[in-house]
Amino acid sequence: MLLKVKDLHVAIGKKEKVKILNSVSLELDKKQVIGIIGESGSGKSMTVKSILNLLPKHGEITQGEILYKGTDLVKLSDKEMRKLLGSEIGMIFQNSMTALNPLIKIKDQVAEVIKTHNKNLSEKEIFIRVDRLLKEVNLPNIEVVRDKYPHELSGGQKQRVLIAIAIANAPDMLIADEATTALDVTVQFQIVKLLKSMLDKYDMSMVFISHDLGLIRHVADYVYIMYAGEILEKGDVLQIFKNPKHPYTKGLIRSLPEFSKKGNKIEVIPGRAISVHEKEEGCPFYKRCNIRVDSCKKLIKEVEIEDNHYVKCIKAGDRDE
Amino acid sequence: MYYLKRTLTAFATIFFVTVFLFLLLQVVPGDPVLSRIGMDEMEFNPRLVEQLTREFELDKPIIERYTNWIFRVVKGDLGNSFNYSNYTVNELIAQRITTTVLLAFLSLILVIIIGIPLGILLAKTEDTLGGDLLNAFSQIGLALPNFWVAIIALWLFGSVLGWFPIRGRIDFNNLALTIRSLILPVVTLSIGGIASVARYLKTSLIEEKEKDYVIVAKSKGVADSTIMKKHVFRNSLIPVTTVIGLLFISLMTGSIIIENVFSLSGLGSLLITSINANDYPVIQGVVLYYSIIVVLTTLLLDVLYVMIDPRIKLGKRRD
Amino acid sequence: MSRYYANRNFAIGSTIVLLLLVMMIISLFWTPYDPNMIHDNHILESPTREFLLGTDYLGRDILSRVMYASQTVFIIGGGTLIISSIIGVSIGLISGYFGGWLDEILMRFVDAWMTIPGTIMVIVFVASFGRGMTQTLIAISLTGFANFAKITRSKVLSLKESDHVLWARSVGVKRGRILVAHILPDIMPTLLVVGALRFSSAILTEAALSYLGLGIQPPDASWGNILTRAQAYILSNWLYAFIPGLLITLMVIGFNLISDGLNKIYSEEGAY
Repeated sequence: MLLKVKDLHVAIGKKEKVKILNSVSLELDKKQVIGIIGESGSGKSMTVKSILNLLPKHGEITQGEILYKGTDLVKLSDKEMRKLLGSEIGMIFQNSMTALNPLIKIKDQVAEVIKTHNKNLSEKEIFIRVDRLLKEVNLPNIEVVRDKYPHELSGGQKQRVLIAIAIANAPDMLIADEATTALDVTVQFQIVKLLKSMLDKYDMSMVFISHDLGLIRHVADYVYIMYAGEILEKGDVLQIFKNPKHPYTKGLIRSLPEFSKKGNKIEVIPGRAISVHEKEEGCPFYKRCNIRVDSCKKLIKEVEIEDNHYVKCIKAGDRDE
Repeated sequence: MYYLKRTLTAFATIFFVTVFLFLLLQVVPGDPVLSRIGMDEMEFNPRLVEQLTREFELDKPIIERYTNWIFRVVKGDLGNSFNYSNYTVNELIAQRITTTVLLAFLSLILVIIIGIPLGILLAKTEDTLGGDLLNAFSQIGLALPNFWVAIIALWLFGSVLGWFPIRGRIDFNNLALTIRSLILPVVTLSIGGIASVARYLKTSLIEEKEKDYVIVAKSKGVADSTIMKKHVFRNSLIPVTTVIGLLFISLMTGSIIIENVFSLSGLGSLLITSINANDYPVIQGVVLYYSIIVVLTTLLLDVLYVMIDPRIKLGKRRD
Repeated sequence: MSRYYANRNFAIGSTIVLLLLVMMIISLFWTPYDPNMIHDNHILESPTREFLLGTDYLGRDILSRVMYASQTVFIIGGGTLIISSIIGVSIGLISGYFGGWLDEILMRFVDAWMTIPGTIMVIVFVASFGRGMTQTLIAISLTGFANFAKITRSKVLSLKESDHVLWARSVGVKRGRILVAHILPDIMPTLLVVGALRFSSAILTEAALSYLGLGIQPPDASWGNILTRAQAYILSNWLYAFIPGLLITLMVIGFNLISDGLNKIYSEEGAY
């Protein structure tokens, strides 16, 4: 198992600590792609930021283990963690608009990640690699692009640069946090295609985070559904779509355009996602759930539905709607 | 092409400023003839009054006076001082401009040398006790009236301790005296600037540190100190450059007062004396010089911007 | 109201200003002596129990004059703030809302105005129109409005397309009412933050002007013009020069802190 997150709890806050992740566990195997899906505030970004030691200023891991190739990342020092970042673990961010330093040329920003982990390479060798990477991510006119500044590129092009940076040192694991969210739909699919070919080529595993269930369907092998800092359902991607058990998951699937019957309105889940401050005991989805019972307010339990398909709901085993 | 446009705008601005100030001055209730020769002479020597009135062109209408002046200015002739009858305005300015520019320049250097490290320190120590103290000091630095500080400093270090001369002089033959005369003025002039630059840099640094590209840099495994130097600091300097540019202008105008406190003869003290003596040509001349300096500084700043920020194209200004 | 005082900057700043305001109000009714009264036998005395800060070069009680001067400072600060904000906001509203060539001309004018350094403009204005309370007030107000104009205009531009204004117009509310009722409250936070800073810069400008003899004229008192004479006598009575400057500094710190505090409060609330 490449990555194993065990019972992760994370809290954030300057004076008072608020829990933003509650008992999150996930696994990533070699050559596997897992998807984490959830609305804003669900904790999906925080999960990966915890893995990478990139939590914001007042965040801390209060409990749990993050085992990467057997080593607990939580216990590593900043320096040791930095050795992994950019070399064995690559991260692709959303917000390609702001993810690149506006004052530095493209080639230098890609070179930076190479230089950091290959201190003995010469300038010439580094830039040879940079050019090669830019070509791999299908950027046009490399000789011109390499000397450009971020504001001169389109959103899609910038995203390709970010991918180039992430794969520069042939990492074993890629983490893509809403890597396509800010892009046009057509560009989105191009980027996803590029990612998949990179994964294949370099034998990488990936954690793909999105709020777009439709997109995840094309990318991931195994899916985790997050809500308010908790994992509500997890399973094989085909199983999740064929046999969703959690009311939230069902709601998400039903709200996909392809699932609405012709002529009918697209279904939505009533209410809005709660923030971590509003969480109470028991099931976080209680207020929006249509199959809730009183005991849901106190109790929440993980139930196995079928092979490797789990649901955190006490009513999940019941009859389908 | 852009530079041409900018230069034209600059000239237009100077033109606008001179018209405005010229008009303003013509409303002056004071009488330059009176200032020059005094009440008694005016009574007993009508012919002198007539002569001076013609010389000062006080009998001609405003527009004519203004156009005459402009034509002469373009030729480089700023006229003769009403007050110091033996000197042309150009000569008076030439005598004193070095002092003022020297004062402003040295202060600018001091502001950069102290202000920038101070700003970094403020950013680093935020939310600590030491940081709060430094913050308080910078607040005080901003609020101090610089002429008051000058008065107190002159008293403490000049009179009481005797380290510096009470009436300073800039004399390049006597370097020691020049330096000793300049230290207090330069220091008091820079206090406000140091505080302002430091605070600006601090805010800038703190903001930049939270930006997305910093997180990306961290995800590359780059060390924090490198991130601060290569990314955060460099990017924070850009807004600070504007502040420093504008600071030069305020240092130039600030020196008007400082020169007075320390009895240094620069453009500032010339301006004040001329105002008290209703010496229009000198007032106009000095103000013209100040306007030119302001316009040149802003022009330079624009060019600087294009050089350091690749997002700025000629002709656009990032607000 | 309590959320304001929870902010440390605002709390300290407003306390300082309040204390100075109290001194000013007291001075309206009582000062140890008449600020203009000359005590012939007590010229340039050091502080004694009779004259707590000593006497000045004409034999007047310094403490009384300092207290009296606080009135001038508040008048200048408040007066210039009111005048320049009215002028600036009006220009900004007109420029932003009506747009077009009117906007172009007004903004060019404001930009050109802004390139003239404030100190120069004030000095020349005062040199032209004379010295005194009114002239100082007007002169300083004229240097301060440009900022307000630009801020108001940019806010108006962004609000012009905002939901609640479009709604108001669609319902048929008249333009003028829209400006006042909808846009004005929205820019109030920014105006307050900038306004407090204008107050402090106005005080500093007036102090410098008066010190040079170009501002408030004696026998009117301002902390700046007290310093003009105090400088010469600093060796015999250092408090004469120290106190007025200290009070200026405190007043400026007070308003700067108020501005900083308000800024923090409003940005956290998202009022911007």
